[in-house]
Amino acid sequence: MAKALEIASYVLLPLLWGLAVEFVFELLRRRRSDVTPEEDVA
Amino acid sequence: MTLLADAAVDLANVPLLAGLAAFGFAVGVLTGLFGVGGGFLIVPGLNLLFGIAWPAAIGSSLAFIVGTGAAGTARHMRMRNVEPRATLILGGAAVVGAVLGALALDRLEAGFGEANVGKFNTLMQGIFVGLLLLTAALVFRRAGETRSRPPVLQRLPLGPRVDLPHVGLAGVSLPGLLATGLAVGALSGLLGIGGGVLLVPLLILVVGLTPHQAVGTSLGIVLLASISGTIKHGLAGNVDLVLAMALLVGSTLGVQVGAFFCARLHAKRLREYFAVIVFLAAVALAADLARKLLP
Repeated sequence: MAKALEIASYVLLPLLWGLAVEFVFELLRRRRSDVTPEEDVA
Repeated sequence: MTLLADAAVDLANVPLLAGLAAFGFAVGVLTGLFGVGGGFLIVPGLNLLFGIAWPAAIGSSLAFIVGTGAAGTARHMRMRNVEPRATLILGGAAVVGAVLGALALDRLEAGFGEANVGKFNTLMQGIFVGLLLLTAALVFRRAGETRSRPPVLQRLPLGPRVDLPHVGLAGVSLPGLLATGLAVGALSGLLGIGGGVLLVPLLILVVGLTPHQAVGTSLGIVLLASISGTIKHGLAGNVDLVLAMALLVGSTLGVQVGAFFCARLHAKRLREYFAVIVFLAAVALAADLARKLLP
């Protein structure tokens, strides 16, 4: 069980960190430009 | 000469952690720009700059690529650069390939034994130099061309075929896609790279995606392959989470900077810059190899 948690942490911690930072940057981008996702892509 | 061959990175070693974060930032910029996970720079960089043993560098690099790949994929999905069907087909094959590659690394390491660690390191470095030179040559060759005929997997006379409607490609050979994913995944598990350094040129040359689509799709595939490789290497005790997270803290910031510039660069220019960086990495690695081998 401990080994399974350890292996899961090798995947989940980097994954969650990457997504969390991306989420925060996306929020900052939206606040600054105040546009919808579709407008952002265009 | 390995400072960390048998020991985990110490949380109290602030200069080392800061150095790892700075290295991660530089690699993260390249990730956002070119869709490469950065393993092709991280693994030899950890070994040459920080003295970390190859197996630990490879395993920790894959855990790092999970994070940087997740951030890059999310960003490029919003930019509509990820082809979902190609990502799932190539990514599924790459997951299987990554497990096979990691098993091959275990066999290779055991075959050399502890007495021949130097020879093992030299072999790994030689494989990296060859891989990087091949990638740079492929991308350089293609950078000046305009597409005059359909991509390789559309011409390959091997069915069944699938359509990739998100990028407007029809009749792409499914066995060809699976073989490409399997080969890239095997290299990923063997060398600790996500595989993006090879995937981006392959997605352009073989599958027929545009450079921006190749960057986004490659990140999705790299994410899947690196998850599989991290689990395999974690079971073998080759993952140092503190090391991976230190790199990741720097790189996730770098990814944002790189993705910002990616959207503003012309496709041909993007390819040329990518080829130059890969070539420079190969030259640096080859110079170090020559220094070790020559008396």
